[in-house]
Amino acid sequence: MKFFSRKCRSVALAVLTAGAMVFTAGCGSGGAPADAGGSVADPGEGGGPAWQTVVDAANKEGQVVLYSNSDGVNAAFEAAWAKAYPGIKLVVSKYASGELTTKLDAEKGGGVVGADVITVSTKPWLDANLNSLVAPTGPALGKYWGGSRYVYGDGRYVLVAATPLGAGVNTEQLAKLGNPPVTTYKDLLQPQFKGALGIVPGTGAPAAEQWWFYAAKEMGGDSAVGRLADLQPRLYTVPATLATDLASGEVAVGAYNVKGTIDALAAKGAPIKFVTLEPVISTPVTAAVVGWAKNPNAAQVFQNWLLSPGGQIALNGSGSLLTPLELPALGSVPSTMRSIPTGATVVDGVLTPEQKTWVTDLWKSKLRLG
Amino acid sequence: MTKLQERTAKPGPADRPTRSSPRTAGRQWALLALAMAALILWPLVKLQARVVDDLPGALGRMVAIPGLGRIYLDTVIIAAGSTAVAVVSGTGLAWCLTRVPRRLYKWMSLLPIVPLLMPSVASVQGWSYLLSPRTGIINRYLREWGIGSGDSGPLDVYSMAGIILLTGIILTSFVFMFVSASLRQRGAELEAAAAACGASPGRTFLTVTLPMMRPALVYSTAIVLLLALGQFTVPLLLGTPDRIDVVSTAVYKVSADYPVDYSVGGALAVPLLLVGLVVILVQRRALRDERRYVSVSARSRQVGLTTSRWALVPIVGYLVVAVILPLGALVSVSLSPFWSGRISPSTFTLDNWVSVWSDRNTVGAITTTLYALLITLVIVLPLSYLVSVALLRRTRVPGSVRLIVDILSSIALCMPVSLLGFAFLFTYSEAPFRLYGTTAMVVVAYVTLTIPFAIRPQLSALTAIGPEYAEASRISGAGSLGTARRISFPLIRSGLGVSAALVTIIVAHEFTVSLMVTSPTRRVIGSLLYDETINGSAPDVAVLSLLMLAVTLVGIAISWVIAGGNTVDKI
Amino acid sequence: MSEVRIDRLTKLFDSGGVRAVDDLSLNVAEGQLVVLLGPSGCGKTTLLRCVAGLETPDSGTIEIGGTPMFGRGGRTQVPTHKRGIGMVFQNYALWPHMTVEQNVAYPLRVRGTGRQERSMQAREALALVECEALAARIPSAISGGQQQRVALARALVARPGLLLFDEPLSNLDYRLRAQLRAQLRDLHRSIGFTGLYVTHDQTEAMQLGTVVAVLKEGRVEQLADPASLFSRPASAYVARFLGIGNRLELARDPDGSWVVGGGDVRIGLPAAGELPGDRFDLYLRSTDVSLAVPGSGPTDPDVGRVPGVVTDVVYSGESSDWVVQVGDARITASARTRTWPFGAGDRVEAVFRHSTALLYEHDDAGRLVESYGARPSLVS
Repeated sequence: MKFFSRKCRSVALAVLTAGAMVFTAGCGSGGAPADAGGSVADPGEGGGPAWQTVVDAANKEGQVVLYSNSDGVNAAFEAAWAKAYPGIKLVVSKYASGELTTKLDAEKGGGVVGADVITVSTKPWLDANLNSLVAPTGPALGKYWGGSRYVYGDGRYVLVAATPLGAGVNTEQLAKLGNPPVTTYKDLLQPQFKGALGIVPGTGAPAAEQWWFYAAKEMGGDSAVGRLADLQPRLYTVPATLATDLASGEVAVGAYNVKGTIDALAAKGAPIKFVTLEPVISTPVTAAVVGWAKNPNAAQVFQNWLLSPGGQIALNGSGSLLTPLELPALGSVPSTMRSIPTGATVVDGVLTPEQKTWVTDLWKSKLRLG
Repeated sequence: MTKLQERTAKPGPADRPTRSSPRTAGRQWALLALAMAALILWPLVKLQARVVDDLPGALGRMVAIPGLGRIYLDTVIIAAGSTAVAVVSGTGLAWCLTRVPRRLYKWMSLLPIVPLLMPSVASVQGWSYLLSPRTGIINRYLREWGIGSGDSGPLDVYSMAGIILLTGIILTSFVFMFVSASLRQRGAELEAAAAACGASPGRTFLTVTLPMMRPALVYSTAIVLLLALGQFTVPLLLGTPDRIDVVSTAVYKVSADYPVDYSVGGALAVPLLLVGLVVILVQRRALRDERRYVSVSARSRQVGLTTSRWALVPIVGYLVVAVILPLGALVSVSLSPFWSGRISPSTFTLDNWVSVWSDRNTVGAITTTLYALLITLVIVLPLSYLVSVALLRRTRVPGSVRLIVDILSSIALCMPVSLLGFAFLFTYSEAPFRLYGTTAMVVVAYVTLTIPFAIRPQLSALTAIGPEYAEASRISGAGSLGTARRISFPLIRSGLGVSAALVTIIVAHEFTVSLMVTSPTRRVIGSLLYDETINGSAPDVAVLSLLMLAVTLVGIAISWVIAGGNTVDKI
Repeated sequence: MSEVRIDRLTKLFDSGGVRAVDDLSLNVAEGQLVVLLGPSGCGKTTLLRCVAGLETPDSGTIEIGGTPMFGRGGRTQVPTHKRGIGMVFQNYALWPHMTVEQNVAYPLRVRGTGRQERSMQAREALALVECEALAARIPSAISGGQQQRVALARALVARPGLLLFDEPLSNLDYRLRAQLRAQLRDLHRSIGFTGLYVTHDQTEAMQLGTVVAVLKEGRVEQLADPASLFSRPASAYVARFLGIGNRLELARDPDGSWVVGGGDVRIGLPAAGELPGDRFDLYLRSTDVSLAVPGSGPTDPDVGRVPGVVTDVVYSGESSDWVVQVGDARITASARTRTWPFGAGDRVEAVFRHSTALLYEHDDAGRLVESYGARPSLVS
């Protein structure tokens, strides 16, 4: 018998072919829910012939790669983009913020492919790499964002959305605990939640740690951290797993949570709901075009779209995320869409010395976080 | 009949076909060592160079990590505990297998290996659905039956015990595989001989069986210990609620911070690297005389051992615990709209499957994984064959080269994979390689990761067949290549198949390194699954875990072809 | 052109601690089957493996058919597969994944012989060893003797210039061994191959070898044709290895006679001249010893007599062994059963002819003392 007889080879081929057929058959069905809820405004409006050259070049490039940390970048978002620019394929890659910056640092050195556009929450990285970012050349920045305080480094990066973080509750479990009210940050500290509370302490993500810094203030200052620790909260690394355990009833209350994630589970029948805690504390979704983009024109077109009403509605229209722009400026928008409330906190991911001390001395030590 | 080979019976120097002068062969083998060094050592050197550059600072920042001692302590506890669980249960299963009724032997010998096919992510997820303190299905039943009280418990998989047991269960298959192979090779005649000398079964086990298994035990203990030391998935997914961190998760957390402190990450892993090297050296020393254990077995495998149906219980039990229960949980979650804490078939839906399928990333990732797997196999199998030949004591490889090759081939085992991923990323995404975003990068990483596992089965097979077959071929006029192709490869074909299977399993289940080295346009199933655990819902994770299992099965089919299916039994 | 020349070959093991082959020279003429005989550890297998190229010697030269295979301190080194040799291994080494015919045809296959041609030649070779009926079987399905014959066919099939045998019969049972020995002998007569044959079995060596080389610690102790080897073993080592087991230690008495085994038995030693020493070992083949009633025989200068007591009679069917205690030595006399009427406890005289006995110096080298014995048949 030979090492690889002819028969064996054909068997291997057959196995592979059969496998491939199963896979391709599986992907034929389904399809993204295509509710774009779109805007009538043309994102290219006012761009002139120079911008049209960029758009043409972008169509020639045919694809744009987006690295994103945001839950707002979902199937509906992708569908809206596909409707606006059918000739440019959007390739999305989701990462947690920390991993995202690590990957970007590796990509800067060059390589075969990489990101064209990014959305991250880590401001220090953006500031450190300002020279590697490219300011938008499209018309939307000037048209809609003039004078906005959310445009940084001459437009090299722009806050395109704020993610309001709140609590999630499992209504069944809450009923078992006697339906205590959950509307404020302080409510999270009720003693009956002992063992039934889940939190995402946000270790390693400065923006998340800042969220807790502000939330703790709302809970009643430094002593609140101790009381929170006494409730022996169950720890989660990301809101998605916390939401899963809320849905199953492993925990009754959880913070922080993302509205979109909770709503998606509730839509499938999970007995959970999102609770907006007042005042709203949000984390940033900051978009930028990177200098090493392999599809520089498509990147510009995407960034311009994101800054235009069409992109803003696609990202923030559901109300899960908040738009930094005033609604009237955007024309007709979905009724669910909201702006960042005046006076609301949007953390920036840059820990002040005070916050740093709070994180290490209080937050991490009380909750015994590594 | 089973007989120890001549060189065993007659230890006279003249009859010992051992190493001879290195002059001629040395250079080619040194080249092999060099190639291995370039592949494996270079990324690590680059990474550790960073650490050395900034040593005092790195040490300072490392010591400042809160609970540093606790991290190392937990690492050691988990490693020691799960190794103990794996070695005891793996050896026990192998021994049980020798006692199962003959006609069931073939099936029973396969069952304890089946858990290797389960991605550890899948088992962990499955068990978390079964043993979450409040909503775990088993916990609910236990509470209904009056065991435990209140809303929670009595069992909790998110605990030190849970991590140790689950890691141990996952690693048991490895131990079983090596020990069982050595028991099979040995044949039953030696035990029969002990019985004839008046030894009771227990005494026979202690005085004959156990010592004969020693090389396999030492080897598998070392491997499992290294795997347990670098264990990432289980502590990552189960350790958070109880704040259990091990070195690899700590390294990972460092790496997921901004700015990434590579020096601290590298420094954190240094003790692990050192322990790993020590383990390998100790293992080498303990196995120095492995030729003493070479025995050629022929026809009398069936010599009267008493068999019993009771021997089936642990084997089937292991399969239930390691595969059937978590798989069942996973399947039902993948069919549920969301994980509700109970299985309600009335709500079952294929929506999750449809939505995962319709994601073009899924198909792309599966294709890339299979493609990368094939190329990895094509590179790893010949390479590990060469390394195995170099490691054989009887070949004319200079001792120093052999030592280097040996250590290089195992070094990938000593590193926490999370750190290895970064080492790869930084080495191969920069000039002159610039492999980032290519399948080549994935393949390079996989080759490095899988080489240690690909070597051993071939080395065992080569040791077992002895040198005469190859010598007879050379005498017949065939060169080294012809001999390898026509004689050695076919003879160790089953070993090659096992190698291929192990490579498949590692590649298909790998997700730490994949996460680092894959780009959005070149994803593999592992990186996709990781993203899904971060962003997705429980059912989607379940679907992807099951898809990972499916990819593994395709790879195993390939290995089966390589191993020549049933034809192996003839030999 | 197939003679083998081995010149001053040395092979060290364990970093020079053991000289497995020690400055050894040996020639094999064309058509000769040279048997390397010796106990395990004497270096015979290593020597064979050096010739095969499976071991690399440390110094010396090896030529096969006039072509240097190893020499110039290792700079000349022909790899095994280019040496044009055939080899039969102790454990047969038939590849288990090939049929018998594929095994035998293999040397032709690697030489590029066409499929039909090699099948024909393989069957011819199998016919030579009377195994053509097994062609389609796999090795594990045939008996040990058959396996070894197939291995022999494999070694022969490509008509190599030199055949090497590494204890090919020692894994077989007694009867098969005898049968295969005869077959090998016939083959050597009919084909006339040149060969080197390693064994530790003296019967094999005597029956098969045209020349026998007895090896001791990596050196050739004696090189001779089987008949002279057996009649005049050059040293006590060779004598012992050939199964000459009766040994009487002799010490010179001041009165000129010789004391046997430290006891009070004395004998005279006829010699062609003065014996070169005071202590010797006398070796007697058990078939050359006969027993007699004490004091019954005639005196003859060629006959030695030593008194002793029968301690045991070992019955072995056709023949029997009488074990006699002589002083502190124990000697055996073998003859057809019932040759002598003695039983255990009987006092006897062990009788032998000095012309058949062998006298060796009582030292490590144990050289044969040539001047001993009248040896009328050989001297005249």
